[in-house]
Amino acid sequence: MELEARNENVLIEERDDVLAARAPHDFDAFGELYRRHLDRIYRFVRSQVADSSTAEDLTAQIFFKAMASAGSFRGEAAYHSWLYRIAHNVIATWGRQRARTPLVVASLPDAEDMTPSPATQVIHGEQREMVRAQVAQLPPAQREVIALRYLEDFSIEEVADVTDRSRGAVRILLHRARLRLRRSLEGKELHR
Amino acid sequence: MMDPFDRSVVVGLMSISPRPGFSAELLSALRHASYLPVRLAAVDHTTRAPWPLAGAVAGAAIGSAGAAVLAYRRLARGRRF
Repeated sequence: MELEARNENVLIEERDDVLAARAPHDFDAFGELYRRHLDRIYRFVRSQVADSSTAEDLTAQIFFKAMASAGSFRGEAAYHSWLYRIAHNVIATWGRQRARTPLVVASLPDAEDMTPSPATQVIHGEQREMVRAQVAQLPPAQREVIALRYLEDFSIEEVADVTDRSRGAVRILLHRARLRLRRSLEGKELHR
Repeated sequence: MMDPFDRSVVVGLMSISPRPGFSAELLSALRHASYLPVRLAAVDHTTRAPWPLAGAVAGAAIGSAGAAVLAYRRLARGRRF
């Protein structure tokens, strides 16, 4: 028991790349990576799909895939970039398999956070929903780059790497997405 | 200092989080899968491809076995009457 707790503490202190190297043969190491990245991966997936159950299915697929192919992580990029790359592929495959239907505002991400952080409380719940609704209205490619840039603070290079697009294409997508969002959120008293 | 527009987008997206319990459920499923001697392979077109073929072979085998049984029954009935 004490040994397990000590092992957990050791894992908490390890860097992602060290844990990733152990992950193929050590589930606890993979589990620690999972704990670190689940929320952000879920958040990203949820911002790309219309309902929570699809987001859960896809998030599960992403982590099963990450576990199954843990040995193929070479450490050339950050572990979270590698995970986002898997997420991008899983969402792209899912998108190809289903009929192309636009997201409907009625089934947008719910305010699922039970204990919002102080930063989250800066704008009201309704306003957060409005922002998410507008992001959901963006075309899939724009939605993806916006989520990567804003959620993860990825650089243009990192977004390009994850989405397999050129830097120029990412810049254009980002510019168009921001313009569209600005226009749609204008006059909605978002900026208090 | 972040522009108010950017901040509102960040906060809007950051407020999404998984339902309580999802994390533990998925971790448990992953832990169980990790005990399997052969880990679940990543689902993609290369791992899916053999299944339709296996299904077709199995279907053909079941179909021909069924047809053989039917033919045998008809023959047997013919012999009886």
